[in-house]
Amino acid sequence: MAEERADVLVIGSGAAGAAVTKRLADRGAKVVCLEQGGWMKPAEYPSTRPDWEIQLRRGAFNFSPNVRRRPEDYPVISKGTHPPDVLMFNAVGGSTIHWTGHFPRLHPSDFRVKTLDGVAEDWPITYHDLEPYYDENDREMGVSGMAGDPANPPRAPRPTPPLPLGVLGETIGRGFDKLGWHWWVSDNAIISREYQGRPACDLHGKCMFGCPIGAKASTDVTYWPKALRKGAVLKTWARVREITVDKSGRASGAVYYDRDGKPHQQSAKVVVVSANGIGTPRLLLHSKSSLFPDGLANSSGLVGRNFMVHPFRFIEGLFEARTDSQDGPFGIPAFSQQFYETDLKRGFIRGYMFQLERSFGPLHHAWGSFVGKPVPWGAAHHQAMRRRFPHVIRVTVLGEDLPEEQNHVELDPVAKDSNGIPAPRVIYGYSENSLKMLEHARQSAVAVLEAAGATETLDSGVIQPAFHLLGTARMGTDRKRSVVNAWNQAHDVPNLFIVDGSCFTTSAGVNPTSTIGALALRCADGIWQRRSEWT
Amino acid sequence: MSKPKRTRREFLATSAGTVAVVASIQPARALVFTEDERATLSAAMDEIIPAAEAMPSATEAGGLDYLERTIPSLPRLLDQFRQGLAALDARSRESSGQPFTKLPQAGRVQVLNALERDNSSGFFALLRDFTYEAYYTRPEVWRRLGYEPHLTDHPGPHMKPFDESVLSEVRKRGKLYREVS
Repeated sequence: MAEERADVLVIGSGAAGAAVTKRLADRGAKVVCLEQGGWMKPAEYPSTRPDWEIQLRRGAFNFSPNVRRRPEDYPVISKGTHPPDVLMFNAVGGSTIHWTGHFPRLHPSDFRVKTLDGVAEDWPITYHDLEPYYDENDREMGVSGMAGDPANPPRAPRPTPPLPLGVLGETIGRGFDKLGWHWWVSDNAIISREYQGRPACDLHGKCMFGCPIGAKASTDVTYWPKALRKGAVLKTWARVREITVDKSGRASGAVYYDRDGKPHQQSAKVVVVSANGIGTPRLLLHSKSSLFPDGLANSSGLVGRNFMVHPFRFIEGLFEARTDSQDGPFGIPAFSQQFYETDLKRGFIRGYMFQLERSFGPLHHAWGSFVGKPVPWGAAHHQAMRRRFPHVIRVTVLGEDLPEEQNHVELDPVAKDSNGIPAPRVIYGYSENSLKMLEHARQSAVAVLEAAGATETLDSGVIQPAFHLLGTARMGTDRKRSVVNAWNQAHDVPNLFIVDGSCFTTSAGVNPTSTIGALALRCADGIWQRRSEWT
Repeated sequence: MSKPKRTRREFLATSAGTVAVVASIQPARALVFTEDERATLSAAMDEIIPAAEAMPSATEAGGLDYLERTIPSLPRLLDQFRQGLAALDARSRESSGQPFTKLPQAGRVQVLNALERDNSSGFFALLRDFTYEAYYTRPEVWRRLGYEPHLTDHPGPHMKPFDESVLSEVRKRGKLYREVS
C-alpha cells in the first residue's frame, strides 16, 4: 500500500533520527519517521519496583535484545575473538531510553588522528565545524555540567548546573588531586533544574531503566514532542525491510512492515538512515537491487566494515567509609582525561578516559557487580558483603577503538527477525593497542583509587566488548575509503544520508551520543541547504 | 523559567502504584518443589547465606518462598533446579552415604565447595545467584544493611549540592588538550 510522499523519510527515532526530524520540521520540511518500536510508558519503567535490579539479568528492560526479546527487537549474532555483547533499545527514543546520559564531546585532535598520530583516517570535518551543533544539541537535550574544563576547549555555559558529586565524586577527586591528575565534573544529559517543561533530576539513580520523570534526556521527551508540534509524522511499529531506489539510482523511499506484518511503501524525496552502528549497515546491506548488488551505498565495500566499540574495563576500590555510590543519577558525576591525548611513552597510541560512575543496589554487588566477582558465600558472606556495600567506588575505563576492516557487521545467513529479515552478525576482536591501553588504564585506575584511600581493588579484567556501536558507514572525503561525505551524504546515492554512530570515522575515547546528536543537526542543515536538488 | 507540564507529584498520582505491581509479581505460593527438594534447597540456601552478624539466613528471610514464586515464570529453570538438587544429593550420598539434609554443617559446606569447583552444569552459580536474588530483594534485608532503595515513585536521596571549590586544584594545572590548526 503506497502512502503520501514525504520530503524527507527518516529511519530510526533515536538520538540522531529525532534530531534530524525536529530540525527539518522546524524549517518547514514534511518529514516522516519510521520506528520499529512503540512509545514507552514511563510510569511503567521498572525503577518503581522493588525487583528493579533483576532487570539487569533478565526481563523486558535488559540491555541486550537477545535477552529482552521484545516483539520489536531483532536478534544480533556475535562472533570473533572478542564477540560483543550488543546493547541497544528499540522504541521511540531508541537507545536513549536506557542510556545513562554521559555527554562528553570529542576533542579537536580526535578529528585529525591520521595527521597527528598517523593512524586510521582524519574526519572530513573539524571540531569547529561541529561546535555550534554541539551547543544546539545541548540546548535541545538539556545538559547539566560546568564549563571551564582544562582538558577540553572552552564551551558555552551549560544549560543547568552540575548534579551533586556525592561522597564518591568528592573522594575520588581528592585522589586525582593527590596525584596531580586531571579530573572534572561531567556534562550529563540529565537536567539539574526545571528546563523546557521537564522537571529536575530527583537523584534516584536507576537511569538505565528509563527515567520515569523525564529528567534524563531520552529523545521521546526532548526532540519528539517539539518535532510533532511542528507537524512531523512519526510512524511507530514500522520495521523497514529495505530502502528502495528508482531507475536513476536515487533513493525513492522504503518498504516497511506494520505490526501485523503487512508491507507498506513510504516514498520520499530524501532518505535519512539513523539506525545506528548495527541497524544501519544491516539495512543498507539488505537493500540490494540490480543497480546496487552489494547493498546500497556500498561501492567502497565499507558498509558494515570498521565496526568499533570502545574498549572498557572496570576497577572497583573498597573504602572503609560509606561511599553510597548507589545514590544519585547513574550518569557519571566526574571524569578524568589525564591519559586522553597520545603519548607514545605509555606504550600505545591514542588514549582513554576514566569515568567515575555510580552504581546499583546490594543485589548487583552480591552478584559480582561490574567486576564480575560475586561476594563469597558461606560463613564469611555477611562480613564480605558489608565490606563491599555501600563502600565501593568504581572507575570505568573507556578507551579509543581504532577502525579495522576485519571487525565488521554482515547479514547472518540463518538468523532472522520476526518479519523474516536477516539478522545482523557482528565479528569483532580487540587490537593489541587496545589491550595495551586497557592494561595501562588498570594500573592508573588502581593508583588513583589507592590515592583516594581504597584498601582493596577489584578488577574486571578485559571485559566482553559492549555499549557503543560505531564506524560501519564512515564519513570521509575519498569515496573509495568511506561511505558518506562531510555532510553525511552517501557518495553513491545523492539523496541518501546516513547519520548515527555508523558514520563515525574514528571512535574517539568518549561516549558518542552528544556527537551523534550534533552530527544529526548538521546533517539536517545540509539536507535543507540542498533542497533545490530534491525532486 | 516555564512551568513543567507535569510535576513529579502529578506523576506520582497518575502512576500505576507500586503495591499493585508488586502484588502482580508475587502470586500466592504454588506447589513447585517436592517436600524432599524443599528440604535440600533450604539446607543449601542456608549454607550459602547463614544467619550471622544480626542478619537472617536465606530461608529466614523468605528465600525459599521467593524461589517458588519466581521459578514458574521462568521456563526451563524448574528442570535445572530439579536436576541440580538431585545431583547435589547424589554427590552427598557418594561421598558420605548420607542425603545432603542429614549431613552436619561442615559436610554440607564440603559438598557445596566441591560443587562450586566442578561447576560443569552451572548449577552452583545458579543456586548462589538465586539465593542472593531472593535475599537482596527483601526490604527486611535492605533495612538491616542500611540500604534505602529510593524507588522512582518515592522521594530521591538527599545529596550535598555541587560545590565548585573542589575543582580549584585542577584549575591550576592548566590546559591539557592538543590544539589543532
